[in-house]
Amino acid sequence: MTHEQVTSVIIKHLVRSIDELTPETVDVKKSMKDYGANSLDIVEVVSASMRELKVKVPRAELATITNIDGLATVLLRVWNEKQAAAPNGAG
Amino acid sequence: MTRRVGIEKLRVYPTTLSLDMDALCAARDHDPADVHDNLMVDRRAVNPPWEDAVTMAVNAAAPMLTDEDRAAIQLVIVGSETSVDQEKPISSWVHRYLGIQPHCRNFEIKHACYSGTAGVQMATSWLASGQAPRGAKALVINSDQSLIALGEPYEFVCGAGAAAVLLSSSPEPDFLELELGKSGVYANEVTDVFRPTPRVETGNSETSLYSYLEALAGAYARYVDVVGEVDFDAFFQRNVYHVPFGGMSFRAHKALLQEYTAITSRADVRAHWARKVRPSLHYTRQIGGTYGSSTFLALLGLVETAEDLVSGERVGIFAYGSGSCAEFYSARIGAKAKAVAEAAGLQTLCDARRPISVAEYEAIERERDEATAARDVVPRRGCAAHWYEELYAGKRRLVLQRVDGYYRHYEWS
Repeated sequence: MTHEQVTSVIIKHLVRSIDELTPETVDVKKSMKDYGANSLDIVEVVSASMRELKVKVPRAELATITNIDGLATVLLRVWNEKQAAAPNGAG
Repeated sequence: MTRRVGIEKLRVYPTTLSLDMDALCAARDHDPADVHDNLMVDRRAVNPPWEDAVTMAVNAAAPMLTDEDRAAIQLVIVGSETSVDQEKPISSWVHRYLGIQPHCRNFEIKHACYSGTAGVQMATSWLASGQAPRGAKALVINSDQSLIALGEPYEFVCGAGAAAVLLSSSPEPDFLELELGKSGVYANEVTDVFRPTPRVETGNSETSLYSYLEALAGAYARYVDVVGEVDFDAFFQRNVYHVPFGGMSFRAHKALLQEYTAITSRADVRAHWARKVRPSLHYTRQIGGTYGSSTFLALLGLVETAEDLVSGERVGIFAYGSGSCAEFYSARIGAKAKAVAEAAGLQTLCDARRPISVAEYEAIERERDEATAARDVVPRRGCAAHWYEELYAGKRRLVLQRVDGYYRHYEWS
């Protein structure tokens, strides 16, 4: 799993939550709020991304994230930690 | 032969007062579009000071029961997170004031918004087990109201109400047949929203929404494990979700569509939700948060307002309780469901509520808060505009007359 792959998962779910947003126009240095996402939309996008990546990040840690790139970094770190902990690296 | 078990009758008590969300938005300088379109709440139910979880429970069930029902009920379960006593259960007052025969097991249960569903599942198991005497019925009631939340960010999703569900074993359940064994449970300890004292409702709503969505995924995955692979769209003709606010049903339905179907675009998801879920919000929008009653309120709204509803249709039902425990189960619409819903007369009850101003609502909430867990209380009957005379006198509703040295005294209006 790469940072780009995790980012594309987040963007896929963000586009499904925000009207008239396309993947090409998303700047990962921006916050989801910059694209009009409300707090419910953000919960939905983060939940769907965690579900797809099969990782779980504590809410307190999620609260410190300020942009899409930061979310991708945290999700990838947790994904890597899970891989390292899994027997035979089977995730 | 396996017994068929289901809901024979269902009735909801929406309180007697209501607060318009536009007025509350104006008072709190909050965007009304957020409340109507995102949260999907238009009004909320408010109780006068002489009602509590006991009176709502009784007032939900009393008009629904016949003498035959009172003689047949041998199990009463009341779910609540708004109980009036830490030892004496609401069910004991319910048993008394509903005039149910004395050989009736009764108790109160608590599991946040899951308690009503927990009660229905336990009652269903009892009726299906062969332990219940032939002809015995079970009454499950959820009764809850929000605690004082003036100016809190979650004030727009507060509410009150009680749902009474009469369950029995019969060849063909009238309102809804529970599909025995078709259920997936997901439990995960979390402190999301909670009531550490009878006067405090607190927590983190964002944590709760994450927990809700995780539990939905976990409970539905378990349902599939138990039932076998199903085509989500084809298998469920309708879907009902626990709604802390109506808008959550859209998020929940979307999550399942994205994981289990090819329906992923925002427009397609919205159209699918509008067809299979939106009718279930008819009453939720008018009553607000009803805690463990919400899925039953949603079922009533679905049956009453979905014009193309056909008996035998399968409904996927998701219940979530903070703390947490969740369940995804399925049921089939009964042959007399429309008639049962019509008899419940909920729209008439909602329309008969007295609209109150924000100032009146705030005064009531302060009075209730001060009265909660107090040693001596005499609810003011004349708090404004002769409400008691207008809405209660001669209508045979149970009301709290007074609390005297912690003893609660109820009477019929």
